[in-house]
Amino acid sequence: MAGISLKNVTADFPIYGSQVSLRNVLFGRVVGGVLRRPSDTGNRVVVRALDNVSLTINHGDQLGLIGHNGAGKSTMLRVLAGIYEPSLGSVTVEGHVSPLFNVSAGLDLDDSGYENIVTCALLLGMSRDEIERKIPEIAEFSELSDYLGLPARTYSTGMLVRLGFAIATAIDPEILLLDEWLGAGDARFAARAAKRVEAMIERSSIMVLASHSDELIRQMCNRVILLDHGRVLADGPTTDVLDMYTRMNKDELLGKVEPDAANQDLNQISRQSSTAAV
Amino acid sequence: MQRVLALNIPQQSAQRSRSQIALIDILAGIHAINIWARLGWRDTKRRYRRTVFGPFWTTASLALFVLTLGILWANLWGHDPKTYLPYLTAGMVCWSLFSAVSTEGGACLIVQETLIKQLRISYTLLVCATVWRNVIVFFHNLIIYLLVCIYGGVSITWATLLFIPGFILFCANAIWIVGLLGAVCTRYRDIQQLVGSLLQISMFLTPILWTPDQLKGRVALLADLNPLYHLIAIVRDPMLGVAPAPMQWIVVLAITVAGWTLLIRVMTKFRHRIVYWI
Repeated sequence: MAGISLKNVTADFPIYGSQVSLRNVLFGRVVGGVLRRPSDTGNRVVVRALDNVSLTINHGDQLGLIGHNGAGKSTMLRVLAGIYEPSLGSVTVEGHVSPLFNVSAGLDLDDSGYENIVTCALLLGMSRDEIERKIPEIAEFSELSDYLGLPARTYSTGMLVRLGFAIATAIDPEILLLDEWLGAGDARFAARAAKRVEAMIERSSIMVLASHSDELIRQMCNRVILLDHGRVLADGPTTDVLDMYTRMNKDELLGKVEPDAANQDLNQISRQSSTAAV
Repeated sequence: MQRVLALNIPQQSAQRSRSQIALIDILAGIHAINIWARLGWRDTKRRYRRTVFGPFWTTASLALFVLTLGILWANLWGHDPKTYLPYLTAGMVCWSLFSAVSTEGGACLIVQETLIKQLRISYTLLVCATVWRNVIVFFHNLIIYLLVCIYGGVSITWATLLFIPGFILFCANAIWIVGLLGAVCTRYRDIQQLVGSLLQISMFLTPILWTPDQLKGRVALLADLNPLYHLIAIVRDPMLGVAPAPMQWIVVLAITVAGWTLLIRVMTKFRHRIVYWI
């Protein structure tokens, strides 16, 4: 049985190499994550991307992550993948995690299509036998036929995406993490691609998808988490949370939202920085 | 789907301490020979692409250096070119490997940012790929050495066999050096520049262009106290058909143990921070 549990997870990103100016802080307010200057890191500025998040993801969950840009969706996925270890709290994962954030990771433009299939598949955790078995299917799906013998730099952008996509979606994931939907190619190819991703999700025990597309989330997920400033604002059945999100966005447009705690923090920091600047 | 440990380093938990994770990173990374050998080989192939001589350009410039300056210095210092040229060539071939891994070490994790932010991959795997790539160049360079040997009439003795343990020990040191530099340079990018300038001066301070017995009196300590001298000697001396002094083996073994201890400690303490720094 696959499963993931997060307990009081906080992820802080230290900012190096730049003295944070007032302008950065103001900019940070627009972009998303909460900028802080916690006393325990000296006077260094950190971006708090996840703030005290606790949740359990169970076998069979097809979880959608929604929220504004910078709400913490990508960070959450990377914490689930173990790429970012939380600064506080703990993550427990049962099962094998397959993150597919960037289908072109590992592609080498100088290598031929076939060589790229082998390298990328190795990096995705496939064995040599498994790769040999899957090459015909990957080649067939990518529709690159004779091009597979040529260096990848001769491919068009679309062909390159198709190759990366065909390799990445050949895996048999247990826990699948997707940052935005994996799409590829023109309208005709996109339809085939969607089918292939759906088939891959079918093979998985848990899927977590971060997306800005309500329609996609409605279609693919049976549970949704709404993130805002790194906190879980809502967690529940797809329709309920999506409706709440839509309402929230409407209110925001109409200007009904009270400045929340995070924004108050920001005000404090901007005061600190302005005194520091003087 | 099988589980490749080097691509899925387990997460920290109550049962698994940071030092265990550091050890898993190192052991699983070295064990994933099929992956790092492919990555390293791919980089080498890239150097061959669309050039007539590929990596032999490095070899050619080294050959030019050794032949011209070798003959000049042999005359200046009154050495016999038949003994001096093999000595210089063997030393320079070893030094080029040391200098290349130290220079590239600092960037070895930084350049793999996409991979590191996509997978919980073993950093040691990436380190091994960097070392392997340079070992391949080393074997290219050996061709000059073989030619010079024929000219100088270097005899093959039982001591020549010591090249094998010497070279393995040398590579073991290369791995901790690259690992350490790779990790530290993600946080402190200046180190890379510092290493570059130190390397330049070390080449002249280490007995490669000159022989240790040219130093008289107290200055002789310059060779004996220089760890790089012993590290080079355990590979160079067998190449010249001479067995390295037992003291040199002891010194190199001590450096190896100290270096690996340091690497394990740094990985234990900072492995989880590297992705935030990158």
